[in-house]
Amino acid sequence: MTYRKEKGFTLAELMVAVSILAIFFLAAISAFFGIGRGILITKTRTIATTLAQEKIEFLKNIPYYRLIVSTDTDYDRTYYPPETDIVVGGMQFERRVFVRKVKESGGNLVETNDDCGLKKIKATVLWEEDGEEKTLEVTNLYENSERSASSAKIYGTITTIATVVINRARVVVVENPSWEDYTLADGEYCIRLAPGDYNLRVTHREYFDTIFSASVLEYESVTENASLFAKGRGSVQGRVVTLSSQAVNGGIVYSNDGLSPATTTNTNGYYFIQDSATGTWTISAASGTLYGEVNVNIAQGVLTSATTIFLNPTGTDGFIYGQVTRSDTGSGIGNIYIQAGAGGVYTGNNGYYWLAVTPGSYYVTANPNYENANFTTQATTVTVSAVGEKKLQNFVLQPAGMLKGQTVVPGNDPLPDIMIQASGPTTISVMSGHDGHYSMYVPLGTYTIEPVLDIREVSDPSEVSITLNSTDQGQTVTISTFTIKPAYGTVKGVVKEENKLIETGVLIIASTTTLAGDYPPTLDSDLREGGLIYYGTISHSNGTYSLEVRGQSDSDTSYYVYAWYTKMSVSGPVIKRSDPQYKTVSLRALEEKTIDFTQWQ
Amino acid sequence: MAIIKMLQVKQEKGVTLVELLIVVVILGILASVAGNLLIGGIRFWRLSRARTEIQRDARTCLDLIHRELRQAEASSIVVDRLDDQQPPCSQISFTKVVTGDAIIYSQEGAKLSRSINGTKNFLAENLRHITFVYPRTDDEKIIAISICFEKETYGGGEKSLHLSVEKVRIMNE
Repeated sequence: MTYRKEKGFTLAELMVAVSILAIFFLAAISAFFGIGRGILITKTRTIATTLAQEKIEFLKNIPYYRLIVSTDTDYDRTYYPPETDIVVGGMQFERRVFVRKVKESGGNLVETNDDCGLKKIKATVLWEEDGEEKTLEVTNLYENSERSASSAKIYGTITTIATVVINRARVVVVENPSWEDYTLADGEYCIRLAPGDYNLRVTHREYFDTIFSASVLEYESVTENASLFAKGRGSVQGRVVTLSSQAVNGGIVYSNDGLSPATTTNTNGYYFIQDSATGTWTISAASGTLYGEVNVNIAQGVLTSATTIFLNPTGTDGFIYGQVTRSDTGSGIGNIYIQAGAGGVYTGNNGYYWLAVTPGSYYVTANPNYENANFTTQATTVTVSAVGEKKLQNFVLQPAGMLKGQTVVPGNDPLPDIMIQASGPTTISVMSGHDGHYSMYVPLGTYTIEPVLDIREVSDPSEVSITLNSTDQGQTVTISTFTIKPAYGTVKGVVKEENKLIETGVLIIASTTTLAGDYPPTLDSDLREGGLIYYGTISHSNGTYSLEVRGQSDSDTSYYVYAWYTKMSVSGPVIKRSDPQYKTVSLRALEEKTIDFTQWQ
Repeated sequence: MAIIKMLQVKQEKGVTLVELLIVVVILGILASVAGNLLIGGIRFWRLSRARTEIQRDARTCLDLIHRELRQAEASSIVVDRLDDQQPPCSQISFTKVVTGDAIIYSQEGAKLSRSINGTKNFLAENLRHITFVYPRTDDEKIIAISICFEKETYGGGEKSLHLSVEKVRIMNE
């Protein structure tokens, strides 16, 4: 009976074995797919993270002030519009950006409308996975490295005791002299500074200095007015004679009070100084190489008679003298400070001045720092080579007014360090300060004021024309704010043939004129240095393209957009041109227009 | 005993026609499936080989052009084409700063050539187009290169395509 024993497997056994195997393989395959999917998900997430980080790096390369804060509420559609056509590793991603101003408050970051020197950049990457929308967010902070947040403001009016406003008084923070301002024609000053407790000094040559303290918190504006006590005025008279008691005619007499102009003696050797500051001063007299001096005490409103000055041949000074006149009428201008080195004098009523200096080379400035806001300033170098030498130096000052304004980025955040140029009777350039404000004194006349910008930026308005007439002399004229924004608009679209996206790359070229032939010109250095700019790009493998072209802020620019692509045939490349040959588009800065190319010839 | 005998007699030694037919049919089905699989496999292998090849070609060419172009004198660069049979902007000529070599990369039909001081050799085949384009001609220090290869893979029916775009910053004036 042993031969009847079964040696093989029964069908049932085999089926069981096959089923077990099938289950095992099914499990293995599904595990394999699961792992594959897992790898894909991880890979996609890694790519998404890299894309987000790349965008943040890109944005952090933009200078802090030029990184525009988003005006939309969820993500930026205007300044950094979403990029929808990023294809990496066969996956399509969309990338969005959101920029906000933030500040630290109680250990948390909160959004703010004030610029506290901190911006939050959020990059969001979106993609589709198994019909499901996935997002990944990366956030980073961008700190302004250039300044401590000048978020506080001290402003006010400087007047005399009799509440008459004082123009051109200097207000300076004692703790940080770079925070300073000069009062304007209405006596107002304004200093933007970091929050803190400060002492402020107000100086003006005709007044005694005053110091006041102020304390200001973040984003706070504090009004601090101050009044200055005018230096008292007295007068002094006396006589200048030689050692042999002969009257000195035409001798120069000057006081070191810092206020009174120098004068000369008459035929009998007498002099009279009218507007001297009160106090004890040295009156010096000189004639040729002769010199003498006397101390005198001048009291408020009193005419003091000084001791007669005897001239010895011990003179140490030379003289710079001359007249300061107006450029328009030619008449002399009184009360203009003439500064030479550390010393200086005011001009007398007719604009004449005498300045005693030890021989040497001097940088002589008339009206330094626009101390008299009604006139321009002028400077020159004068060399007095010997004791007793008289050097004539006349100054012609122009009636002047002040222009002021601000440069901002879209969203009205200040943009510092923009050069503003005023072209008119003269050309004057200034840089906007850390709060975007600028001011400049200009001779009266008609000016065109424009920001000097990189080709990548435009200003809205692009320029401002303004006329300062005689009523504006010494006054401040405010110019409308310049909004500086990126100069680029975007032309984008798809490239198709017979309703199928072209994946092999289409050459797109745009320019403001039509091309001379059917093909792009030879791009050599002559063409590149010529005024005409050609913009070009190549479409992506997903059949889309995007081309950045320069636009104006307040007017459309027309572009002719051409497209070419290449097909292969056995005989070689076949070149296709768009049909019609070009398409036109008009756009301005920050605008986006769509042009699709679907017909070819 | 008789039963045993009977069973022994009835025990089959060969295969019936029906069984044979079934086996043949099964084998046939298996063979056709396997054949399809094999053909599909070969097709896939060829496609992926072609893809790898052209990706390698594209990468090699781009790397070479990239490296040389970075050393170019920006003002010496001229972008045009070899002749009017070639795609627009498919030739670039420039002078390298340090060595002073005159380099020309150009498309000639489906081939990419590189010429150094007049000596020309071919770098790659299966080129569909190479395109050099300035994003803006007023900034001659940035130029974009796009290179597209295509290769027939199976019976002329399928093509493998590869497009690379890269921006190069030229380091010298």
